[in-house]
Amino acid sequence: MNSKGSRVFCIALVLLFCVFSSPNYILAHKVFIYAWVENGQVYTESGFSKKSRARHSDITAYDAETGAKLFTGKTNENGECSFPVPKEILSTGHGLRVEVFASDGHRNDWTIPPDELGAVVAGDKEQTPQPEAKQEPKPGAVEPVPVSNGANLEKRLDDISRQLHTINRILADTEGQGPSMVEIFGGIGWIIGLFGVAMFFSSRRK
Amino acid sequence: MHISEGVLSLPVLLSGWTVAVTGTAIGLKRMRHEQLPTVAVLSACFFVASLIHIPIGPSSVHLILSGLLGVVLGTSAFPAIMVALMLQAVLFQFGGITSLGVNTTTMALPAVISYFVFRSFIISGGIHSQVAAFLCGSLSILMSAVLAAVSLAASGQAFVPAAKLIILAHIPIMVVEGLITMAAVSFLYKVRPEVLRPAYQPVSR
Repeated sequence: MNSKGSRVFCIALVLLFCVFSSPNYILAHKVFIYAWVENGQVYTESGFSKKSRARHSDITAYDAETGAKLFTGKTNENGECSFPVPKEILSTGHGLRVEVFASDGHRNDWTIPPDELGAVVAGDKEQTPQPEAKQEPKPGAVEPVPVSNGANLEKRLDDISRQLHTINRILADTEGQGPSMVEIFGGIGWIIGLFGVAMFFSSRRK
Repeated sequence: MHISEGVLSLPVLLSGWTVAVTGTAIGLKRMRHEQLPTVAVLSACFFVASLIHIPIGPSSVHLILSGLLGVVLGTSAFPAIMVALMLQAVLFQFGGITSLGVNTTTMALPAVISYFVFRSFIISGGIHSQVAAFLCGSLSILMSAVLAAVSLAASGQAFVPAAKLIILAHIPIMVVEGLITMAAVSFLYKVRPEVLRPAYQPVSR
């Protein structure tokens, strides 16, 4: 390779490096976001597809009804961001709209309904174990594990919380799924149909 | 390149719609009856192309094919792209309905500009035709990236970072699209030159 060729090759390599080392390197059509509440924290996951996450993108939380800004932050390397449920939203009883703004004009939002926020708050308040009512076991029913003290209850709540977290992550992943074959072929069908109608009217005019 | 809903300001959205509707009207007016199947097929290609991801290095790029549509369809690229983008917005939630005008302008205007700039070179055949086809494919993407950056800048974002990011991200696709357009034009010129000709020379009957 002559010197001119090597120079061009080097420039091309540098350009490719710049492209792929860019933190927000994306060539996607839309950004997705999924947000949920656990233990008084709002968790968000956002990305362009299952594999490509929206890294270092802006996350903003608003009051879903008034539009008041309640939180701003950025996603991490995995497109995740978490923050405490804003106190202001709990007193209003409104939902929380969480918005992701990735570069290149990509934006999307997810609204957490007030009942979900309220349930979490209520759940937090119920940390002290309630005295259990004695119940007669039903025939054939699975014997529940006795909850004898606060430590046991806390452990079980932690287990449930972990399982819910896994389910929420699976739900977040489903948000990043691409279009189905039905939608793709449906779209092609629409195009052929539309231009078919245009052809029909055009031939009638002739 | 699909700008989402709620990102652009009202004046930008209105400007985009004005250009898109005008371009589509001109495209429809100049479209001939015999051209309709070609427009439909290329519109379907554009619709599907964005779902085809080509792995390059650690990431992947997707095709746009606006340059190819410009080369073959000329001004009819406007209605072809608008229909495809509208269906992408409705079925896949790519972009959005309010931003459809801007997205159509962003992708179709460069295709039509490339057609007017390179058409004489492309119909001349030979190496000039191939170089012109490559430039048509790649420059369409470059112009689209610049237009997208201008739209974002006009809506309040800083132009230079937006332009830098969009252009850098689209460099691989510029090369890929240039090569695809070059190969497609070269193939069509050999086997079905009449597919290319209607866009350049009005048929005299």
